[in-house]
Amino acid sequence: MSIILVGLNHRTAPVEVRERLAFNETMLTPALRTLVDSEGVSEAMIVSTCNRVEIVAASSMDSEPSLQQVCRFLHEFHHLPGLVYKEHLYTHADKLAVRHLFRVASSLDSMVLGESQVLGQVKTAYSKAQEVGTIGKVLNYLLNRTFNVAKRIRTETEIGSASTSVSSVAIELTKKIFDRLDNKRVLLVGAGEMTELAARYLVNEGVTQFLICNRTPERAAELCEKFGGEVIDFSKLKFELPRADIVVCSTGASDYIITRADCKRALEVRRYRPIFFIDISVPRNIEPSVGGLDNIFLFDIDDLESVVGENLKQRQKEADKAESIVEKEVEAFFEKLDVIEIGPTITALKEHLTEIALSEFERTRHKLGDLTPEQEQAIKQHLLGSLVNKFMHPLITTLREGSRNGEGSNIVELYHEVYDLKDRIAGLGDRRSGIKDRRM
Amino acid sequence: MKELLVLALAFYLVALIQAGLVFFQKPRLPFAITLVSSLSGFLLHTAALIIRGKQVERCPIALQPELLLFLGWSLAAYCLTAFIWNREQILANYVFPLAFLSTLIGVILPLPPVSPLGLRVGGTVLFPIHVTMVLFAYTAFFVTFVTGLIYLFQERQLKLKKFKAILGRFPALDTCDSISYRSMSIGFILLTVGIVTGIIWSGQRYGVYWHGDPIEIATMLTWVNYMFMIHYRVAAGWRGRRAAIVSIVGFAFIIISLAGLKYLGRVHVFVG
Repeated sequence: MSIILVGLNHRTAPVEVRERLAFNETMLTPALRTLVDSEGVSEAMIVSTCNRVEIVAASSMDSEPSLQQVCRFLHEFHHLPGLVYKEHLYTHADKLAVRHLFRVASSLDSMVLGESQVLGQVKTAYSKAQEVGTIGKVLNYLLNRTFNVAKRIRTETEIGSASTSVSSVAIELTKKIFDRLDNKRVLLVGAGEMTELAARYLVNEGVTQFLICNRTPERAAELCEKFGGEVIDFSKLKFELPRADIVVCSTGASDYIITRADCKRALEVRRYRPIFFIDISVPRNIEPSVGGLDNIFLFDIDDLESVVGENLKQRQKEADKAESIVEKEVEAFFEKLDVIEIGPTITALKEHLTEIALSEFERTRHKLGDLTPEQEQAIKQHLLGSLVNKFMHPLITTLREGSRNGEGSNIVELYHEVYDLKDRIAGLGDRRSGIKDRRM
Repeated sequence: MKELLVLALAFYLVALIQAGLVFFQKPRLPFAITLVSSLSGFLLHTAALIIRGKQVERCPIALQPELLLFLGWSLAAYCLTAFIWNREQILANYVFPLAFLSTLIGVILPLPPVSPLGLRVGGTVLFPIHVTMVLFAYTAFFVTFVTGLIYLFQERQLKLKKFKAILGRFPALDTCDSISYRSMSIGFILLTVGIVTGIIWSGQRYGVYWHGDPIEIATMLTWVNYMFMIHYRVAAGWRGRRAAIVSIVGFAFIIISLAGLKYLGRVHVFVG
């Protein structure tokens, strides 16, 4: 049994290649079916996003031919001649495959380190494959571990905690100052693209009250229609300032529109309730010394960008911690996987041998004459039981050793053939899960 | 009674560990465990105080160890209320270590079986009211103090544009400011009641209302400080940084009056 992974991402392939090899919603079901119908592949799932395609599969063949097969599948399914995009693909088997999947789900492999969407995308891919019925024991275990690792990394490191875009940093700062935003009034100065974007973010955070101020009132009215609120005459900006809790400023003006004196007065009128200024215009439109006033917080575009830079640095530091968690978890995964792999075989073997012993006992039972229930019990339990155990001992030892050396699946297969355990193991699975396995 | 308190401390230890984990940004214990264990600790603590009261046949807040035990109890009560009501764990996590420390010192200090004061103050209900109210007020002011510190720290970070992930763990400035103001108002009312009952009690007992004791002066300064703060907040909208600084100064007076109980007091002195 081997776990294999074939994929491409934003680093290995440009968008023209990624879009040729991506799977959309409707392609997924036939793709998964085709995959598990190919030789050796018993389980499969496909993660396909705008930045990556990852095909994860469990195969009963050796990893090398299986990887080749999946590469071929990826091209054939997208009707591409030969293996034209081969150099854009990476192929991983076993440890490397598991490690790669752990890193992807924990967003250590993402364009923006520590972003949180990718975990959701892996989860969706997993449930899609479950729905189609291409998830078996191995991938089920693998994906459960993957989600655990991703969660562990989220809680034990700070990788996802700091914002990495100017807008989200601005929103986060707003939340540091105000506990809730739904009862706050936002003043938009300038009605350009940037302020519109900011307004959209703020609406998402529950803001409903906007004051919109622009040199050309028509454009302000347009924004007003989109987000609600009231238009303010540009000349009255100073007088409306006290009504705003948050001010987002982005205009083409070449000097300060809001001065320190304006803010001082505004604060007095507001009885010193705090105001948060975001000045994303270049050149700046709010006098920088405003930031020195108590209860006023002023951030310009450079401040926001330097916070973003700091946060990215911070994430990089946390990523090192996360990598070492991944390494540990990969080791732990394979230890446990061995047990999953050989456990059912041992149980089935024991059942099989015990059945033989008991049926032989029943056949010779009449020749033994009268036995007390205690005697019969002693023969069944002690004599036959320990015989079975003795016979099994070398078999189990070989299996355990083999599994430690990576030969586990070969030996398991050998036993299955010699003792004809296939049906019995399938039965075990049914009994354990209580449902019939759809595949396998 | 000591055994109960030691047991209570053992339970409090869980919440203390939680506070440490939060501070050092490690994964936290499950909320339910913290809650159940600090609640158990609190019940044992309460039982111990009641037993002590029965033993000495008076309100058990006259001697210094008793005061500390009571202060620890009321701080723990605050934390539990915060835990249960709005899961405002973050603040409780800063208050809790002090609850623990106060109780711990109270347990360590030798506790005389029956105090001579017990006989002296037994006659009137005013004395226990005086002490309880003042201590409750101090608990409230401590909360104001902690939120003030958090406010100042965060405000500095924001003004210096040093916005680190750690800030995410503190409540918003707005929240700090309103918690601070609310607990300051409550504390101020309690302190007023405490001072008035103290003065009346003193008048009944000694025939003198004001002793000029350093403790009394420190307490009056505390009162005046908070009164000004509340006045300016209502009248002139003082809030934010200034309010935070005043709440910290006010707490310094409280520390002086508490520490002074041992070294400076003349009337506010404890035998034992």
